[in-house]
Amino acid sequence: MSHAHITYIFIFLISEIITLITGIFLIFVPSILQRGLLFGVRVPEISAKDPEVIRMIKLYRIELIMILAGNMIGGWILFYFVPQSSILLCLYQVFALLFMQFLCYIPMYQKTKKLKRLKNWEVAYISASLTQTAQGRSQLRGIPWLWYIVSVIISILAMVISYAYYPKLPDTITSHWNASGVADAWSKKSYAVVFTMPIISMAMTLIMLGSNILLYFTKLQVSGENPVLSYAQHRLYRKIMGHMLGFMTLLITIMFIAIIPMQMNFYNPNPKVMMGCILIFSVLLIVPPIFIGIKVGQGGSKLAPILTNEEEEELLDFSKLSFRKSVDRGDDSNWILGLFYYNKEDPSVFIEDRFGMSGNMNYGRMAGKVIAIGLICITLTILIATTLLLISLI
Amino acid sequence: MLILVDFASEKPIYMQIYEQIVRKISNGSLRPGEGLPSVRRLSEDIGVNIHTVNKTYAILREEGYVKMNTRSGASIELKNPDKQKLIPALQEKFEILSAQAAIHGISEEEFIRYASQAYEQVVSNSEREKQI
Repeated sequence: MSHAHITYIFIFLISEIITLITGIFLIFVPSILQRGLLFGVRVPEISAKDPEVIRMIKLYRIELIMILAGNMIGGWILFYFVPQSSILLCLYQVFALLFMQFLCYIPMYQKTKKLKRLKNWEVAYISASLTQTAQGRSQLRGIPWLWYIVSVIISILAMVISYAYYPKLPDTITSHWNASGVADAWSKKSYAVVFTMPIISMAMTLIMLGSNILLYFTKLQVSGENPVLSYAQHRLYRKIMGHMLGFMTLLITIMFIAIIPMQMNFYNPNPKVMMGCILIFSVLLIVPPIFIGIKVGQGGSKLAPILTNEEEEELLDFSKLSFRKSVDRGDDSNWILGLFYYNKEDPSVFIEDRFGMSGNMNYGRMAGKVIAIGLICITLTILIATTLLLISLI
Repeated sequence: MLILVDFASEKPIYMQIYEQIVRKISNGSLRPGEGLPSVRRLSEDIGVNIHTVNKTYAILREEGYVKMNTRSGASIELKNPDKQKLIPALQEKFEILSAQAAIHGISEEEFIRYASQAYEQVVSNSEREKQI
C-alpha cells in the first residue's frame, strides 16, 4: 500500500514538473518571437513599442499565469482525493494546458488582426531565398555530424561487446525495473534481448538526425524588413540547435547503453542512485532545450550574428530597394488562425512556425495533408492505448 | 547571395527573379561556373509555384546566362554573349524609356546622364575593365 503510494506521488510530481516547465515556456513565447510577428500576424517591427501591443502581451501573460495556476491547483485537488488519478494526470495535464493556451491565443490573434487594420500597419510581403553554390550539399555539410557518428559508434561498440560476452552471461536477464528502481521482470537470455538497447538507441539516433536534417530544410520565416539579418540569425540558430540536438542524441544513447550492464547483472545499483541518475538525465534533457530556446529566440531572433562581407554588401543593396507595402495583401492570408499554413502555390512542405518554435507544415500540399493525418492517427492511437493500459493498472 | 521577391509588386515574380540574377552576374556577385539552386529548391525557398521559377530559368538559359544540369540544378555559364542579338531588344526598351522621359520633360542630355549613372551602378569595375 505505502509502496504504491510512493509510486503515485512520484508520477504526480513528474506530471506537475512537466506542466510547470511547459507553462513557463508558454509564458515566455511572446518575448522570443520575431519582432515582425505578433500572435501569428505579420506586423511592422516598430509595433513592438506600441502601448496597445505591450498591453495585449501583458494580458496574455496574466491569462496564462492564471491558467497554469488553475491547472496545477486542479491537479493537486484531484490527486488529494483520488491518488490513483496521478497516472492519467501525467498524460492529460499538459494537453489541458495547451488547449487552454489555444483558447487564450485565438482572441489575441483576432485582436491583432483588427489592430493591424486600424493602425494601417502596412508590411511588405517579401520572400527571400538564400542561394549558394550547390545549395543542397552545403546545407547537409552544416549538420554537426560528429555527435551522431559518436552516438552510433557507442551503440555498435555496445553490440560488439555484448556479443563477445554473450556466452559468459547468466541464463536470465533483467528486462524491467519498477517505478522505484527495483528489478521486477526477467527474461531468458537471447541475442534479441541483449541487442534490444543498442538497436533502440540507434533508432533514436536516426530519429534525432532526421529532425536535425528537417531543421536544415525547413522553409524560414524571414523578416520582411530585415531579410539579411534574419538569414544570418537563422544561420547561427541552426548551428546552435543542431549542436543541441546532437548533445541530446549522445545523452539518450548513453542512457540506453548504461542499462545493458544492469541487464546483464554486472552491477545492481541502489534504487535511490538509479532514481537520481534518471532525474539528472531528465533534467539534462529538458532544461537545456528550454533555456537555449528562450535565449536564442524564434529562428534566432534574439541573436546578434556577425555578418560576413558578402552579407554586409547585400545589406547595402537591400537598403536601396523599395518594396510595395500593403495591409490587405500579405502572407497573413496563407496562415489560418496564424497557426496553420495553407498555400497551394508553395511547394515547400515543412515551414517554420509563426507562433512558437516548433515546425509547421504546408497543409495546402498533398504531402502536408498526408503527414498531418498520419501524425494525428499515431498520436491518437498511442494516447488511447496508453490510457487503456493505465486504466487497467489502477 | 539573396534573392528577394516582392509579392505586392506589379512586376511578375519570374521577372523579379530574372532581373536579380542578371544584375548579380553583371556586378560580379555571381561568377561563371557558380551554381544556382535547383528549380525545386528556389521555388520552395521563395514559396512560389515551381512553374514560375522554371520560367525564369528557361529565359535565363535561352538568353545564354545559365546552363541547366540535370543533377545539380543550374550554373552560371556565359555562352560568348552576342551583342548583335541584344541590340534590337535594347533599342525597343530605350524607345519606351525615351518616350516616358520626354513626356516628363527630361532632356536628352539628362536622359543620357541617368543611363550612364545606372550603368556605372549596376556593372562592377572588374566587368568594365574586361570590356576595354
